[in-house]
Amino acid sequence: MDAVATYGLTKHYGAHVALCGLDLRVPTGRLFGFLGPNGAGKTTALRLLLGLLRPTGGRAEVLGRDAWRDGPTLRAEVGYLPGDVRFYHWLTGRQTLAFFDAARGGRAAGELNRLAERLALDLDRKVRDYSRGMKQKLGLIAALMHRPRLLILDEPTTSLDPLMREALYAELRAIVAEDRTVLFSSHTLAEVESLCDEVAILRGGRLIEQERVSVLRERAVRRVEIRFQPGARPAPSRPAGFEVLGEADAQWRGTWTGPADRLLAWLASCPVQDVTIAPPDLEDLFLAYYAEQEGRDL
Amino acid sequence: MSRAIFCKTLRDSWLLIGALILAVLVLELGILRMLLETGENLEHLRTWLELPLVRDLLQIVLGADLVGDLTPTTMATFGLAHPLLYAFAWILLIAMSSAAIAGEIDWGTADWLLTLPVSRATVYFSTSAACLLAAVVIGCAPLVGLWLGVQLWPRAGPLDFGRLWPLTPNFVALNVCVAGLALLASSLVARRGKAVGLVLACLLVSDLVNILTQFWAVLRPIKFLGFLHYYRPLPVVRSGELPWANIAILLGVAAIAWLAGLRCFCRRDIPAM
Repeated sequence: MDAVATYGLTKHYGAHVALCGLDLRVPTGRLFGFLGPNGAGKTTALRLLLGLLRPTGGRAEVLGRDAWRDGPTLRAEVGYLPGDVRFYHWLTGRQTLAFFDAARGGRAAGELNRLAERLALDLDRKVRDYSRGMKQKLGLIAALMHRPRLLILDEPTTSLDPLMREALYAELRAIVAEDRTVLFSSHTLAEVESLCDEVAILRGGRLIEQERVSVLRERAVRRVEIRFQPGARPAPSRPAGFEVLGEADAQWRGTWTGPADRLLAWLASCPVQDVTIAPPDLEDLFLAYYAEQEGRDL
Repeated sequence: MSRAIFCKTLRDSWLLIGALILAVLVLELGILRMLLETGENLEHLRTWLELPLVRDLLQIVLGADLVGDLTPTTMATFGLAHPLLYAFAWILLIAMSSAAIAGEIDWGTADWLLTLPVSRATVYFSTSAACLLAAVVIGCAPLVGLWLGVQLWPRAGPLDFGRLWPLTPNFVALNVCVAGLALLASSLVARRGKAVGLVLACLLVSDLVNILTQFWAVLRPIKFLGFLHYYRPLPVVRSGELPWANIAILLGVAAIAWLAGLRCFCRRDIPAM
């Protein structure tokens, strides 16, 4: 069963189309990345899944239930972190979490303390005294503490320092290892690339790609630098997929698209002194997706 | 109903509830003390009350002509219809009701509240229950204040509480009506300031109707549009009977506003702030 499935999900704000016919499938037990530039419709899609917005058209199923009609039942099994984390500033962190826990049935005290320790958050201070990063940690604890089957995070690493980011990644990986699902939106492509099994790319309210990261990686370009032996000339024919971007002093800079073995076979036939092949760069691929769509929009 | 949301709504407002109830008690004690002092010179008071403008204004506030019926009990009705009393009660109810929905959206905390495993109707019931409790408590405070005053200054009495008590359910109904309207306004908008503005505009129009119909006979047919038309302390005290019809109308308006608010809230989008 898919943790999330949307069927022609559409949302209009008056004349503005925020989301147009979204057909998305998020399989259970995956770390799923939701990518797109600002205004692509990511937050709208997530809010529709949580029943905070009412669809103009289509429908969304979360954990097999209708997101709008069965909201209260399914939200018992969903954790959510909003993009802009704000709390009741007059409460302490502990009082805030105690309220959420009480409203959820009061079974999360143990997990709450574990997470607070893991994320190194002092829960006995008033929220108004928290920094942005501390509020983000509090939000993460609130989203995680009831051990939801589906976790929806809207840009979760905003304001987190690198150490806490790593702690969060470890938590998310542990969640997925328990066959629970994580759906998170992000602007940080490197984060999605390193963390996710599968991604969906949204642009202008439309889904333009949904694919496993491993497949995208095969499609992605690798940056290649080749230094030839002094005085030597490379083979005149280059393999398809290799594009030379710059040539100087027996050194080539370029990009490679396709399986690495063909490039290596060609390199073996050349008088190469040194070669650098960077890992596949998804950022370029994603930017290409955005640009392609932008071209279509124009 | 969610106990957690009910308790949170009360906890968020306890300071305001406490302060305004105290203010009402002090107001009642002050009014009783003032009446005690002016009562010692009744003829002077009567002359002053017979001034046409004062007489009209008192009729607007009390719902009937006070002159000719100056007893401690009828004079004490002034404490149950003082503009400051309305201000204290309505500040509390508008503050609580507008914080419940529009306030949550405005502060960005609605995302947390509405992703809890409770329906929007449950959120609405729970916050409404807290507002209702506040309406009842602050509705009872004036009579408690008068009772305390009589205990402190027995010479201010005797007050006939048998005739005064029917005003309490009437005042509670008026407060519930204001809370219902405030919840409706809160359900319609995403900014707390807008919700407060809507209710205040509604109350201002209602009060204007109440005042203008007293001075211009031509406007009398629209008198029924003012909320205070259904809360007239002096006639109630004189009859000593519960004003069932007025209470029913106020509660009816409250119920319609409350149900409209519920419907709007359950169907509306919650925007990201």
